[in-house]
Amino acid sequence: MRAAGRLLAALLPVAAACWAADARANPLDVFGFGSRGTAMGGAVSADVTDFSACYYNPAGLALAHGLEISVGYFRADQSLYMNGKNSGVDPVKGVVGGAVVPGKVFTLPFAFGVGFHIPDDWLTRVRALPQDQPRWELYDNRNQRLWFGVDLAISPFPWLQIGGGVTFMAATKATLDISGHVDLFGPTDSSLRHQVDADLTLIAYPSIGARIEATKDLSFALVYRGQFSMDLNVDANVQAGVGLGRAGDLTTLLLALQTDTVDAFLPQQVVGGISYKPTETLHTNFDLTWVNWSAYQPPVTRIMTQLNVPPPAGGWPAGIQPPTVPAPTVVLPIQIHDIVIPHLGVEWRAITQRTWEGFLRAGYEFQKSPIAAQTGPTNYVDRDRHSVSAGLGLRLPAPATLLPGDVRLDAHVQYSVLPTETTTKVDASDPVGDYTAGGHIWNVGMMATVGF
Amino acid sequence: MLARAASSRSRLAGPRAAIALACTVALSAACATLDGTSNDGVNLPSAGDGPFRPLVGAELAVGAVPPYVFGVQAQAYEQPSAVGVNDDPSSAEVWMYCVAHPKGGAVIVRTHALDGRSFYGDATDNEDTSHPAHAAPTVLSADQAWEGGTVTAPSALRANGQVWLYYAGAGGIGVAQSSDGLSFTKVPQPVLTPDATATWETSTPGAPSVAVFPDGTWHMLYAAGGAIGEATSPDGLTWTRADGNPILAPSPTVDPSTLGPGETPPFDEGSVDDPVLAPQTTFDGRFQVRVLYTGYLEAPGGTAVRDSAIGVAGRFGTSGPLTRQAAPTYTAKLHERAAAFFEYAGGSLLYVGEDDTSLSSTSPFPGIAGAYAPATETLPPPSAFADSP
Repeated sequence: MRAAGRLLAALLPVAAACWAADARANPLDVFGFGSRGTAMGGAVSADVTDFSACYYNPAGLALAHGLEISVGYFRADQSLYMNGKNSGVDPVKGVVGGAVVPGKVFTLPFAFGVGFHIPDDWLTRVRALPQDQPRWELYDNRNQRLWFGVDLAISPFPWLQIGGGVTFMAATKATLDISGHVDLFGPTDSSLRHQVDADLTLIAYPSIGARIEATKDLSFALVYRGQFSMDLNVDANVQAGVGLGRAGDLTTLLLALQTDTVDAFLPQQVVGGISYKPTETLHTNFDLTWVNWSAYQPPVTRIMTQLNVPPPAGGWPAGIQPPTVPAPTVVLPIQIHDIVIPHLGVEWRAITQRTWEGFLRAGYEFQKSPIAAQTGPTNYVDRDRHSVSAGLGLRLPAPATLLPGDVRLDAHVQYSVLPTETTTKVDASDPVGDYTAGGHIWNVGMMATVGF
Repeated sequence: MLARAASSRSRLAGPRAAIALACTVALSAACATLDGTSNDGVNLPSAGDGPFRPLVGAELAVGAVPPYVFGVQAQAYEQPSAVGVNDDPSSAEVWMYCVAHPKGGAVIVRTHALDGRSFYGDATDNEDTSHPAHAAPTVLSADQAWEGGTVTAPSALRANGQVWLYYAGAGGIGVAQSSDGLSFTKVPQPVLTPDATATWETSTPGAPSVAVFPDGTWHMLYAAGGAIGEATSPDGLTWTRADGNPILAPSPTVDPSTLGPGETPPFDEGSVDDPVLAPQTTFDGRFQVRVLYTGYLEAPGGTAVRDSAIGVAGRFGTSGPLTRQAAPTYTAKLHERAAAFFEYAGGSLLYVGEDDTSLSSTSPFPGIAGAYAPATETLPPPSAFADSP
């Protein structure tokens, strides 16, 4: 009976995760979540207990010792270039934080965690570009978004923690209605009225994780993050009288436009991690992340148009060509493949005093570009990325009577380099032509955590 | 006692400082949510040959009707060719040669703009009454028997310290040379005439465009029989047709019944004409031939004005056929034809002969419109009109 209860309890977070339909897409994959995880190259799936477990491995929440609240800020400046010119990719910056609330269900350790990333500039940003327009596919636009995760974790056995949760994001649906009069040769004499009806709808998507403590010094982790995509659907209806000057309407234009864009697509991921403590003061971690990029859907707007412009009585005036319906968008294949990303991280408790402890951290991760060389008409620009990171941590155990838990301060700096390479076009009439692309990214941030 | 007090201060200083720092971090985080800006669509790589967008009002002189940069109804300017005034790659100062039709004839005139847009003698320039009327001077007119009374399709380039002006006459393609770009001396005989062995040339060669390649060889593209051919020369005067002509033919005709909803046949399935040769060496050392051309939907020979657009084709290397982009690089549905191309460090300007509707929407006259690439970027405000041609 007791075992059944533990099993039921273990399934709770899994069930919570399965409730959602799809999974996460967020800037955290690129820039990390929280200073400790970022400083350790993201290699913390088997070695995380704070709010950042909501992203790295929800199971880690079950190891929290007390209520913790964390808040911080990070900024990633992206100096990405094409042909030696800065592409103007916006920085990603914002407030990050979260809380962990541990407790017990029956006699089992249990924890509830929330984590958030609130960007400065946009809660979410959806942008559809022509397929041939060069863009930093994995760094521009898609990382400008809100991330909010809620997770549960439980430890049915001392050596096993299981966690799962849902992450929330918004999708957009809008209708645009336009009516009025269009003057073919006098735009300033046109008068149009418009009405916009837009909905921001929530999408929830799951992640689940497990952590197994093989020995006191050796732990393993397995995490699954599902697939996520964000749809932008805009329907436009235009009904307008069409005329020349003040001569009145010649005819009535009826246009129904439906656009469907899949944006911010992030594929499902599986993370395997290991954490080994060769000494009491040293953590050495290694993670491998499999990313199912081959399922990627290009963020190309599919347009369906219905146009009805009956010719005026007597036919169209000389020199006037009635508008025609554009052909449906043909989406070209992007040629993208799955990748495995290695993460390495170390944490050394370098200083141990009675009233404070100091930590040094370092990490490395390598992401091979999943996007094939763009030798054809499309220009989804990407390059391999090497990231090295370092960080400092300060822990103050029970610094005051009001704060019986820890106070922790963590800081990180991460430098990513995307080696410059040349893209060579096959077609000599390609409007973009050959180009080089590469650059670097600086990511800095700080976190403060207060335990109670 | 003092030592113990000092030790106590030191133990408390750490936690208090940490709590203060934590509050500072939280406060700074809260204050950090500032407005952001986006910097989209700038500094994008481009082959320089489009797609082009028409110039807009803020990019032209006050009073000019966009996108027209050179238009006078009585002159009916068309068939432009542009050449830089100097060797400064950052300069937009340009000479434009084009065909004028004073009193129904066809002569070649020259105009001048400091910014690539505000041309001496444009109708807007002459709205300024503080100076005498500006008129683009004639630099070439028909005076040779083989020309048949008409000179058209100018193509200007700088070479060997002179301005070379190739042009078309009734009997073929001729050339004139000038040291100042205004006073030209013609080579009396045409440099390219019809060749009975070139069976694809079902009409007299015309619409020349000439460039000197890095190996010193002169290359000429020309139009004949609704297609585009190539000739080479060691000196710009003696020309030999290239093997493999034509290097660009009309796109294969598409059966309209096979087209899907909204699909249109190739814009150039009728004929290709008016080549503009724009070679370049890319930054990675590949020699690339870029060619802009006029594509016509219908074959020549009918009486109706044919639908047209400006296309782009190219190849890597000094010889061989061209491949083309399926979509036009510029289209305005105003019978655009015979473009000129001027590239400088700031971007690429396209001058296109098209129906000028600035005075009448129903009775347009030939004029020259301006377009710019990269289409996502905006030109700075225009400069004053040039005070000389």
